[in-house]
Amino acid sequence: MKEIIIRKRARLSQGDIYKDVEFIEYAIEKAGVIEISKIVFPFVVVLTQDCDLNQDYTVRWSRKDISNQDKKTISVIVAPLYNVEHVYKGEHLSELGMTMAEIKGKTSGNNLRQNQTPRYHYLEFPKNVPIVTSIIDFKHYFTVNVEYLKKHKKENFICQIGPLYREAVSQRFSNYLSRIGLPKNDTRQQGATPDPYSAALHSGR
Amino acid sequence: MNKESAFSAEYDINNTTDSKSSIQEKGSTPKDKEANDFIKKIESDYKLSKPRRNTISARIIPK
Repeated sequence: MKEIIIRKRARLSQGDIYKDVEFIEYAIEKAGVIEISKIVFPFVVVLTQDCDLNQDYTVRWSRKDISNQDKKTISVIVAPLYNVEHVYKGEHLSELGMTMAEIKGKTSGNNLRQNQTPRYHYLEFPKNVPIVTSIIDFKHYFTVNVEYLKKHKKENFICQIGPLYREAVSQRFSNYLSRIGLPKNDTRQQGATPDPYSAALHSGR
Repeated sequence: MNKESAFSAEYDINNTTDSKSSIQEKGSTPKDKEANDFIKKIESDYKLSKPRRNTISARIIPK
């Protein structure tokens, strides 16, 4: 991918990539002791629409007179980036005790690299960006508190995916989220040709 | 200095590094330690490049 922006803006932006972002799994209190479990993701990309982030910034931090907080967001949608070599081996979540499906064979690998697999987005970075070739896994999206991420950005901003490329990522994400899972046997029982899109869903992508 | 010709079988046997490395003969040197530390760093970086879980506990102090 050629379009990468290194310049850091004050506000959160769509396509921003940050390092070491925390996701709170749970926080429980028992007998006066509070336990918090969090997952630290080495890299995440921001998927929230840029206009929403811009309006949120204006409401929260600009000095303009704002009559209400209608445009304020609650959280920011992000998705993790995984090292492509770890993804191929299915071991990108091994530190969390999870074994993922391996991506075997030339066809699966090519589909991944050409962004033909709805669940994943393949990203290559130029040499001046300290991230190896990575995969965004849309299934693992989560949300992060806006103020936390704004503070976190100061020390942990890596780069931003450039215009059009970042919109492509967000559009592929929304397409993935809006997919319709059909019952597995419907088309096959009737002898019809299986829909490749629903077949992709059933294959666990 | 080796007296055998570099093309002789004896030369190969006497000068092979596969079966008995200089590290095995002399023990580890500071350079070996440096290399091992470097390998360990790469391995830990490799682990750090994967998501990891942190769990923290704290006692609540009632006000």
